[in-house]
Amino acid sequence: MASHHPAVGSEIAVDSRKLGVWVFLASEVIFFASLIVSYLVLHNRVTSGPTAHEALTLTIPTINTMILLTSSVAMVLALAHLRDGNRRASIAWLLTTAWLGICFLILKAVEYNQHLHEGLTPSVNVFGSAYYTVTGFHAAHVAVGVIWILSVALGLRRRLSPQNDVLVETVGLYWHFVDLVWVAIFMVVYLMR
Amino acid sequence: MGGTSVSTDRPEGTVGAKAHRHPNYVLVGIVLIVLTILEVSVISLPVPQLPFLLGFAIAKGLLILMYFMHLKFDSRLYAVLFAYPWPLALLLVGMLIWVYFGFRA
Amino acid sequence: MASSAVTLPRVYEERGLLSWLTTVDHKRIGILYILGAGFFALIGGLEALLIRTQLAIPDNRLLVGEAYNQVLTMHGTTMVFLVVMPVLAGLGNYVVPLMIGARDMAYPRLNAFGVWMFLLGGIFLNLSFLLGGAPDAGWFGYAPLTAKTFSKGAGIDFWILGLQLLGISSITSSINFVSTILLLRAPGLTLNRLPLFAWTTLVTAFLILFAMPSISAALFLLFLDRHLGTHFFNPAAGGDPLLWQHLFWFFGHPEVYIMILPAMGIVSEVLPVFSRKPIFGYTAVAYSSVAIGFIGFTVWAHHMFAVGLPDVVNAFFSAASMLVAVPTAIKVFNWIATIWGGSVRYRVPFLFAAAFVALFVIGGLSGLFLASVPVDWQVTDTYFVVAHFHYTLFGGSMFAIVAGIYYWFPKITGRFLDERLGRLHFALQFIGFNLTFFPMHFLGLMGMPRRVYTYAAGLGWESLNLLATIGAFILALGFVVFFVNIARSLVAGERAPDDPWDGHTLEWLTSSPPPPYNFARVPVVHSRRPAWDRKYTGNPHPRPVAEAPTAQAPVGDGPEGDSEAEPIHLPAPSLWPLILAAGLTVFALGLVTHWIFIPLGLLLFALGLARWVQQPLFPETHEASS
Repeated sequence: MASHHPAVGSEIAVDSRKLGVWVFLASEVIFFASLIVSYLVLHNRVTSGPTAHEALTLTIPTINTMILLTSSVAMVLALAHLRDGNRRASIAWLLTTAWLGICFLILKAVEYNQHLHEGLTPSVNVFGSAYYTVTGFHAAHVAVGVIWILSVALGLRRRLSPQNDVLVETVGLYWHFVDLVWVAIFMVVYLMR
Repeated sequence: MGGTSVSTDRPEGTVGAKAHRHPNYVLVGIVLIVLTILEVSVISLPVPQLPFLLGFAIAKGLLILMYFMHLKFDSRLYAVLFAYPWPLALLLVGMLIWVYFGFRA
Repeated sequence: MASSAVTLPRVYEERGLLSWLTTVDHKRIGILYILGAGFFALIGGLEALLIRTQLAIPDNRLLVGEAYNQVLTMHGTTMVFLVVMPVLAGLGNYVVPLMIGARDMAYPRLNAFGVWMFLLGGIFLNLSFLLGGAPDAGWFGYAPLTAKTFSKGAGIDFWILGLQLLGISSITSSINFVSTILLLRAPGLTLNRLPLFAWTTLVTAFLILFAMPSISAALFLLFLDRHLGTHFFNPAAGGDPLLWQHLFWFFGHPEVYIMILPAMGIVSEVLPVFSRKPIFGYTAVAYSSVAIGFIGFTVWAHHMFAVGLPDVVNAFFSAASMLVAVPTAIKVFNWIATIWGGSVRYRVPFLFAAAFVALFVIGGLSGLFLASVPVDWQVTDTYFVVAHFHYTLFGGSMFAIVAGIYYWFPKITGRFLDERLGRLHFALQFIGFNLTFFPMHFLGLMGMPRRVYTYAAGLGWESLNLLATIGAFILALGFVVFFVNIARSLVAGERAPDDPWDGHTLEWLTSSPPPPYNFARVPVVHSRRPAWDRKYTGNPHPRPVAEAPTAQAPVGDGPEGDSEAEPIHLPAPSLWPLILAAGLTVFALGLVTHWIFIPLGLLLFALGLARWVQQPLFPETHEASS
């Protein structure tokens, strides 16, 4: 098991795995900024097909926002319990987080299904293209997060020591970041339509 | 990883902090939900949308960053690293908004 | 105190193919990057010679139309992504951990994954030649030429997916450099004492992290347009081809700084050593690197001056582009001041590094011309631009890379490159390069367009084109001499000591080549030139150059105050990074050829990932015996 690593030659106590995840998340900021700005500049350049105003409703997205925010609470509670030495509670909260993530995805699928029936497809017009792409990449990140959380939970069931909190913490950082991106998407795509 | 041998009894950020009280995560979660309700309400009000929506979104984002992602309590290095791309992202977004929306005849 | 010898289990001493396929040692990974880049350089160089041969005379029929466009596109794509970036990553991988007194990079297996991703990605990209045709829309792939309707074949898809694979390699490599340089420095090695090559590697890592996601997003959008019928770049349905340009150049401009900054770092290492002086103005050079990195993100639309953006927008980008000349000039003046008054040794690394300064200044000057919008409107898409970027990327980056190879070859292999062959190489490369690219300034000013496979007779372009082609072959001859030098020296080169150049930085404190664990004891650093100071300054037990301290020398509690003997943890070799990289590549292959590769690739990916996370990083502890 790779060991924690106080920075040599400096006074910062920084774990290299956490640092790596933060650095990766920093680069993801630019990735989602690129997708979001593409959505912003293209989404109302439609001459035919559904517009954002027509096609998007707030019910499911709002519920999904609540779901993700709650899941972030669950995620950070999982970490807190682990730090306090309560492994079983931690695993339970991890599973809760993953379950909420799955609920998000199910509702997203329902929403997509609605849209498709109403004629909003990725190829009908550029709004469709941008909408599915932005929300789709985010959903894909959620799916990856769910898988990651489940494997961490599985790993926790087998071997545990307080040092494994970094494993939970890193997946937590990723999960909260995905929540953060959703905050932006919720605003740009749904609230500002 | 390479580097000097490390004693593993010093997990990061825990010099005396192991005993620190966790922030009230549930409270933060409730605040986030309230902010979301406010966001959704604002769009049906006759007020300028952008300042409110942006404000709420930024507030939510900062709460998530500070408390859930522990930036408030952790080494400043993480915050500096994560802050680095934001001016660049703002430049990209701002410039494209300017180019695409700022010059309508 | 008895000398400490470190004994390692056999697995770390193994030779053979498997040991290379499973290596997680930054030194071997660095060598793989450099060898891979060398291989692709042959391909890219061949492509260049084909282009120059076609253009040697007007109305030539050697390589025309579609075929020419493929060679042109692959030449650019190869040189940028498969040569310059990887060789700099390779030198960085090999040298930076040594320079900072670390035993390896922060994430050794991720490091291995990066190099396999590069090698497999490069092969994937070049497979296009055999599987329906290489991409042919230029290295910058403008929409709507790259749309399905105008580029029906799979070439563009190979380009898109190949770049995504290579981007993954770059991003993981950059995460590694950031963590390594920030966290694994030897005791006493503050950022203020960080060698400048490590500084520029750090800045470049951030550039990669914040530039590549932009092209990655653009490539996804293009792929969706081509295969799912989306309309991002389709103006008929509300899309905008200019969006591609914005997203591409938001990456593309920092990309050129990604290619030049580490090269500048190499120059900042070589010039002081061969002038026997410290770098002049270390702080200014370090801050200038940071400034260049930042300003580099603000200038992207200077590649778009001719597309019709509003004047005020063009003015902003023009001003920012001129601004970047300031920190660059600061560095140039500092390099000159470093050489000035030094006791210069005109060895081959110095020749290439000094030539860098001159040639890069020329490239920078033509860049300043291009930063002016009215001038750019006249010469954009002409050979003036080709001259500019070859002066900066070849006269700049490539010359510095060669300097770095001559400089660090003794450390990596334990042998010198031959000095006389090196001088011959330098002469041929310097003359050949200038003969090839200087005339292009004039060709551009005379109106010769870029990216055309021929030109008519009677325009007055013949003699300069012929001159350029002759220059290209002289340049190629220089590289032949270079490769011959490398091959001969590997086998029969003069043996090199630990510190062949009387160097300044930590890598010269260990053997040539270094042992797998780099240093028996992590050195403690007290200045910017730790190796130099151990030899000459304030050291009651100075050692002459020929007997520079080695890993086996007793330095534990001595005047240098190196760290105590400690257990050395080395990460275990692992096959899984290669499997993971293969999985992604096979998956990509499935997207452009037969669908069966998609599940195969995913399976390999899942297998590699699962086994990777299950395998512990370290096997057992190994004591340094005394």
